[in-house]
Amino acid sequence: MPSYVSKLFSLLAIWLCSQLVIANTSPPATAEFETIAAHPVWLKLMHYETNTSSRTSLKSAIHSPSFFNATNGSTDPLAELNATIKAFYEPAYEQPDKHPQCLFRGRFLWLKKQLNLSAYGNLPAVECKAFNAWSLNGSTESISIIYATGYLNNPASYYGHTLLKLNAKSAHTSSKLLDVSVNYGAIVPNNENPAVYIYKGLTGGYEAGFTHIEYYYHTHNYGENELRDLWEYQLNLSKDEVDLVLAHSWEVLGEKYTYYFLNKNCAYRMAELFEVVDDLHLTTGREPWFLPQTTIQQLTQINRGGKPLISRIEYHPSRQSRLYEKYQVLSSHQRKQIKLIVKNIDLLDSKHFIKDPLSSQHLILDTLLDYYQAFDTEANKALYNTVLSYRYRLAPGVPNINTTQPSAPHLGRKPSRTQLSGLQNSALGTGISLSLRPAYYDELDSNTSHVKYAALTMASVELMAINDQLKLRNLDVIEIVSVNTKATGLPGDKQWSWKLKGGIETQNLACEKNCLIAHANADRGYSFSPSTDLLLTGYLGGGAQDNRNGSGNLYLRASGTVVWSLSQRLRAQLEMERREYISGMQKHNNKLSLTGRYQLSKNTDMRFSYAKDQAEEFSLSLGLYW
Amino acid sequence: MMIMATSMSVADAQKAPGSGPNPFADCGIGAALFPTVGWAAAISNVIWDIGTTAVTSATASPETCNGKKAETAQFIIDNFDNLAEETAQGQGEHLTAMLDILGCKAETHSAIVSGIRSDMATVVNGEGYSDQHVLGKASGYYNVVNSAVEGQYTDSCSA
Repeated sequence: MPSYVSKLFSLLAIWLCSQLVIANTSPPATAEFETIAAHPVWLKLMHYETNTSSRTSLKSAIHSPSFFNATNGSTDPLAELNATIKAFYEPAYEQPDKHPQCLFRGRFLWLKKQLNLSAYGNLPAVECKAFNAWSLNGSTESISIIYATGYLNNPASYYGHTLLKLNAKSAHTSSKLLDVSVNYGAIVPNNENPAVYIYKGLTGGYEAGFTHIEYYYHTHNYGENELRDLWEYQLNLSKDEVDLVLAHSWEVLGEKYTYYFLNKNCAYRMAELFEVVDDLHLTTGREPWFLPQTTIQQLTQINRGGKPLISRIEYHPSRQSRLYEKYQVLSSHQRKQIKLIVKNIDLLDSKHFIKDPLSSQHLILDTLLDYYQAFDTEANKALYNTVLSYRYRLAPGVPNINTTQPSAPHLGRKPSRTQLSGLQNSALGTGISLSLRPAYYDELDSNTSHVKYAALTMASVELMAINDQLKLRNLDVIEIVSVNTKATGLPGDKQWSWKLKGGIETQNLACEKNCLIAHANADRGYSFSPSTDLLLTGYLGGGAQDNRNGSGNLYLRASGTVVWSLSQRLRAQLEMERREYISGMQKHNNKLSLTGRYQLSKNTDMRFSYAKDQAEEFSLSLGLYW
Repeated sequence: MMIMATSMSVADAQKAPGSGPNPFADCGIGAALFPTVGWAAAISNVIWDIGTTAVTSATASPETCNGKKAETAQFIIDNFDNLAEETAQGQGEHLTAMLDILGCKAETHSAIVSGIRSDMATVVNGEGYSDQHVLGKASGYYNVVNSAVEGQYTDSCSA
């Protein structure tokens, strides 16, 4: 055979083989593929959301091109499915970790169960070393969701935070601090202007994404720096389900989303990670707001196969909570010792301290260490070191204290409230009002996972129907009342209080027309708590408002509040205010209100209220939490 | 958001004789994690790709920086106060985690902690300790731990 004929045959053979390979690695789109592309889990794995501007009415929440194999994969589930399967057949890479089987690990695991991938050709065996190392080579035996309680120093953290913890088998490490955690957050530039921060957070002005790091980073950041308690909820998932959530968490790490503070936030995206488990439905995509506590409450209500989804709940108190736990169990002698030592650190050498039993010395020193860490001022740093050096001089040992664990956050009522009221107003007559408070709590209904006797409200609105008219009565953009009933009374840990409120309100109870005024006020106060059931607070403050009906723009005020828990279900609040106007025709005004709340059930309550502000008003309300 | 390494020297990071590379001095961990001030500032700057970026780049040379040692060093920096307190108490979950990183068998933990405690009692009560930067304290603690493990417990700890 002539050599050119031989070469021709060789080329023809190579071409035929290459066509066979291409045919084998490009499985045709079939009805089965169309079914899989429309499967809820595939849509979840790709994070498709309803989008009316898309041809398919879908668009992925992820906007990193690297997350998609098809050029139109962000909007076309079938195209992305075809391209993803094709990508899995790509020959082994020099860097195997960059192979699609490794990059899109969640999709690969799930599709392997849906399709017989080997039927379409030779699926290359790829060793995903980076993924295997991250997932501890299959030693992750369970997953926990971590709930961090609210943090009043950052508006984005008022309602708490959730993150994921991958629990390694105890054989791998005996410490959960070394477990891997997965977190979702906005990418915010350093030193962002607070107003810009809030605006961008609400309107989608920030990119966001998942990150991972050892769990100890979070225990330190939340527990030691921000003084927030952590609650761990371990999920009862099968090995396959754990593997899928793990693999999906891996494939979304570093991919970019758009952050929305109210609904597409950390709690929402974290809940989505679990939804790749076929029968777990936690989100709808239509929620106007989505709170971390909601995720916890949803998970704890789920039963699968007769077993609760949550198998274990663990409490990790913050440094401040640990201080209060210890301080609660101290004897009066030990409290006196601590107060004296805080005033004069040299008293650690005194015979009064030294002659205490060792266990008492341990408890006193450990309480002081917690105190100096929780109130970490420059002056306290040196005192902390002194106490630590004394701790080393004693024999080792840990004080044995019995404390009552606080009620877990999932046990609390639901976060949003609708309230219907009937009212009798001495100036306006009889009417009804309807109020909606998306979140979260006030002095009367603050309970589990809230700060007792404090208030945190955003976008609360009240409509009133009276004299054949429907009118807006109040719109509270924000209201915060910050109190600390557990304060030790030590320097820096006094019962200082503050409150802040802004929005639109009715000028007074007698006002009939043009009554709505924009206002903002702030007060600083001090509380006294003779028992855990009673809190008395006095405030001094002021505010600015629209000048309406001669009220002027500025005022100063003194106010007092008494909150009293008469029983588990019954709590009452008395508020008094004296307002002095700085400008305007009106000189001053007095206000008084008394409200009682009775908890009918976990998610319903009844309130009786009397208020006096130019007119008198009685109201009876029924509240439903949802 | 990346952590910017600076030329900050780690004067306190002297390695113990015969203990091999010191991650503080030899791997740049201190400089990477502490651009100017204490670790709280580092944390506030590390929202995206937290920490691991800095440590990975700082420990890129496997022949000089043992992975477990670098990991231990970072753990000590991040949890120094908890470790110092638990060492004084003689037990605690941070101590267990640190010894887990070092690969020390559970049955040796108590004895190793006892050794660390004994040395730390001297360090903490030493002159000038209170004035040290937290990085210097963490580095000193690392040296104490390294001495305790490298001596009698080398075989029990796989680091």
